[in-house]
Amino acid sequence: MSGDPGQVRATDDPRRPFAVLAGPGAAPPARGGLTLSGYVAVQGPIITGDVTLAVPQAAQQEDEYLQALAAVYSYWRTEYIPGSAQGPRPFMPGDTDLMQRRRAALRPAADPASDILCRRPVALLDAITLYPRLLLLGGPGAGKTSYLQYLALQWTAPAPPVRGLLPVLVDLSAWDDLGPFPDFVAAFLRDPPNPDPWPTRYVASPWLAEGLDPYLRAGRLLLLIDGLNELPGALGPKGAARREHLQAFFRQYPAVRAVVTCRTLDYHNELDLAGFQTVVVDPWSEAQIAHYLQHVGADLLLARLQARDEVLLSLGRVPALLQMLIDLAADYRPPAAAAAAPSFLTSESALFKALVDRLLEWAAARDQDAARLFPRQVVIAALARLAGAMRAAGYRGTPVAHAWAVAHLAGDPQALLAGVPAPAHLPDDPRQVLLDFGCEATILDTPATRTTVRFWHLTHQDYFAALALQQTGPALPAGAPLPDEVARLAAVMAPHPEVTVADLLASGQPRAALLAGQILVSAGGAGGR
Amino acid sequence: MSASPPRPAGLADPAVRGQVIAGLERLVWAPQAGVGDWDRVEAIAVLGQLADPAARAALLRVLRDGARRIVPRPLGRWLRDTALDALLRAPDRGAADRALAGYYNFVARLLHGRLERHLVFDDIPLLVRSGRAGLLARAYLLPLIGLLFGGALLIDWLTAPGGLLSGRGPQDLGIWIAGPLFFIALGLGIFNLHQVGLVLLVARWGRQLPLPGVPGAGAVVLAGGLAAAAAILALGVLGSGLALASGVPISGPPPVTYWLLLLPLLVLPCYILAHDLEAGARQGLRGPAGIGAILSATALRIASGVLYIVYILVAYAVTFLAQLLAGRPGGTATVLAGLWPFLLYLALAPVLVLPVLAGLGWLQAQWAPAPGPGGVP
Repeated sequence: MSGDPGQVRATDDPRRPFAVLAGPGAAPPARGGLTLSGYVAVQGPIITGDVTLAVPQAAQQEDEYLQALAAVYSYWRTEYIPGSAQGPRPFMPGDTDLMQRRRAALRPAADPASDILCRRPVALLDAITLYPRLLLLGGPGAGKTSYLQYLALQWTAPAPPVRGLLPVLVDLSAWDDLGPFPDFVAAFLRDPPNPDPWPTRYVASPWLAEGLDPYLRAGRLLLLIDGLNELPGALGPKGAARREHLQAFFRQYPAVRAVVTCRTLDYHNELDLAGFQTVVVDPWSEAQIAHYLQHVGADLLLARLQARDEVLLSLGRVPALLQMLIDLAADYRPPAAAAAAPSFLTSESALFKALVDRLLEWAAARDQDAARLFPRQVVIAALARLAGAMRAAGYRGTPVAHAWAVAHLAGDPQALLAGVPAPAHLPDDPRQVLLDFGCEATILDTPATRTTVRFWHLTHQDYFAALALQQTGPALPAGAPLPDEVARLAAVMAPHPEVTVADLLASGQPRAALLAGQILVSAGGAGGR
Repeated sequence: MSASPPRPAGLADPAVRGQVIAGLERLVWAPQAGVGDWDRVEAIAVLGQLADPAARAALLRVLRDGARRIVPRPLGRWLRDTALDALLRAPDRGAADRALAGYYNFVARLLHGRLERHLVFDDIPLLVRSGRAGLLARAYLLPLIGLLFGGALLIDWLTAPGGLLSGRGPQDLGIWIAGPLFFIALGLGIFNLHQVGLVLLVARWGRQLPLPGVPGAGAVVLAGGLAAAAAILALGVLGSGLALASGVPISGPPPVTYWLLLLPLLVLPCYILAHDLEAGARQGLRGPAGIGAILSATALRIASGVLYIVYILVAYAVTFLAQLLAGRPGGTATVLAGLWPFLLYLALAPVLVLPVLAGLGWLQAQWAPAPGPGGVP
């Protein structure tokens, strides 16, 4: 029968996981294909042992899916903080290094522990063509998520780096049940946790969700898995169960290509046995900072860079922080004859403070009623309480139930109003209004269903958690398992960071010197000039 | 009761920074329980951000000794490479460059018996990426060139009339020992020099050019064939060169000259294939396949070394004869000075070969089958 793609079977060859048996009555595949003795290897879309998809229809669905991806990820970079800095900001791939394992001994039985790990410069797109599975490690704000979106965009081009793959970007922080990983991916594709009202971060594809398994088995997907360090319940048994599901998934689907991101210091060898090749994202060099600043026309910052501003040289190494600086500098009007650095360029905490002010101003312009309702300091304090509670409860980068978030914004809803009587038109609990206001400011993030709330980015949550520590007590409580980022920011915000550094060094904790060094750098104590 | 330590005067307090640097060094070299591998990597990155001579010195220590002394061994090399990357990204570029120039200095390496040629070669892609190829040229290549010139002048002085190796009798033994040693040292020195140039060339342009690749067992077979061809050609040229002594041509360049010109053309294919084999074999490939790849790569490296030695030796012989026939016989220095066309050709031959290889790579890409459903290229 014309158009019948024939019978299909799985093969043991990872390079050709599926083959179409050319039996009696079987026709060549409708798209692509290479006839070899007795069977035809499928190069186009998908036919599996259990399911035969109508190829032209699948091709059309794939095209539509890729177009949707292109629509989402080509505009995201220009809309980071709408209304502030002007001009396009295409993603600029930073340096990445391959962790290349080399044999040091020739004997077949030589201990792998005698191998060496070399740092080899590699472009991420080249690494993907060389290795089917990549683990992308980097610091906070290094651009890991942006890299994934950039990769997704590459596969919407006419000539992608590896042909025949459909990129699927999922966020592990949204994995809120304990089911198998493919079920999570399918649920994510059906109803991705996009912020409401905007912008779209993920592409919904019920079609792909329904036909996921054949694509996984055929190795036709490029899974872009964001935030291994943000796996819900990472430190507890639920996190362990999810990690086991993830490992089982990679064993079950050996043909699946994937890129998984994780913060460097939060990676604990979870994927070492799943065939992953490690690639690290490097901090930006001075030349890269200058190139990007020139590209976006950030003249003020370029001038500071040429003057070798130490804070800019330090913060600019982190692309997310540099992006914040650019947004703030775009609206900055320096006082006449003032040569000093802008206030947001004096330390990392000053940068975050200025950014939060900027975001709240922007939200106030969009929602003037809410802005009049809550004094800014009240909003900031409430968000800090929420972040502190989330940290204490182990929600780091992950969403919490909406009701839980409301309860932890303020014990007494009336306290949010700073003594002013609630307006008659106030529609609901003021805490609900404040949450929505936080979402307007893109500090918080909630889906259209309003069932959960999370911070827009983990760096935002860490900043507010550090603020909470400032408000509630000592910056570094002894023995508390504080995330490094929170502890570092809290110490930098303290009036005398050097005291925290000295206390840390005297504490004898094994990792104290590392945290002390990070605080020193962030607080402007790198020295030298 | 012990007195509490004095409170620091501020973040700029050098004592605070010094304690932090010392603490980070301890964390890298002697971590306590509870310190992870990535913590040690991060400690090096933090050291790189501190614009302080003590931090640079700490990074240099890791660069020099990390690969040998830090355990576990795989991590040691990673920390060493991270220290290099941290120095390349350090805020005070001038000071970092001076430190790195000291590290790569060829003379210092020779004096300390730590040439570590492969380690230097491995660093070249990182150096090129950060725009520091010139640093390697100044610190490593120029002293090497200086030593080659110095060696040539020394030999010229020793073999000049009245020199230690100029006469008959017992000095003949010296000539017979010093001569081969001289040509081997000169050949290997130029080999070293040229290979650094090749790595720089490939690191700079390799990614832009569609260089061909031979996967799997085909690479081992090709490497064996190439090594054998290089060795046979080198020995043939060497034999012809030695035969010159008994049959001096009346006019024109001897035929061996044309064969000699083939040798440098093999250098780049040998280098690329050996590099690919080593990289492939060292990426976790174990068992006979890995050993076969490593052995083939080693054979290629040895064949390349022989190519250089034979090329220099025969070029010397041809030049000497040419000067003799022209009635301008001179000392060693004169002959070596007359080698410059051969050395220039040797230096440029890879540039001539590169477009040919790129063309082959392009053809290979055109004929390659489309990826299967797994997308494996």
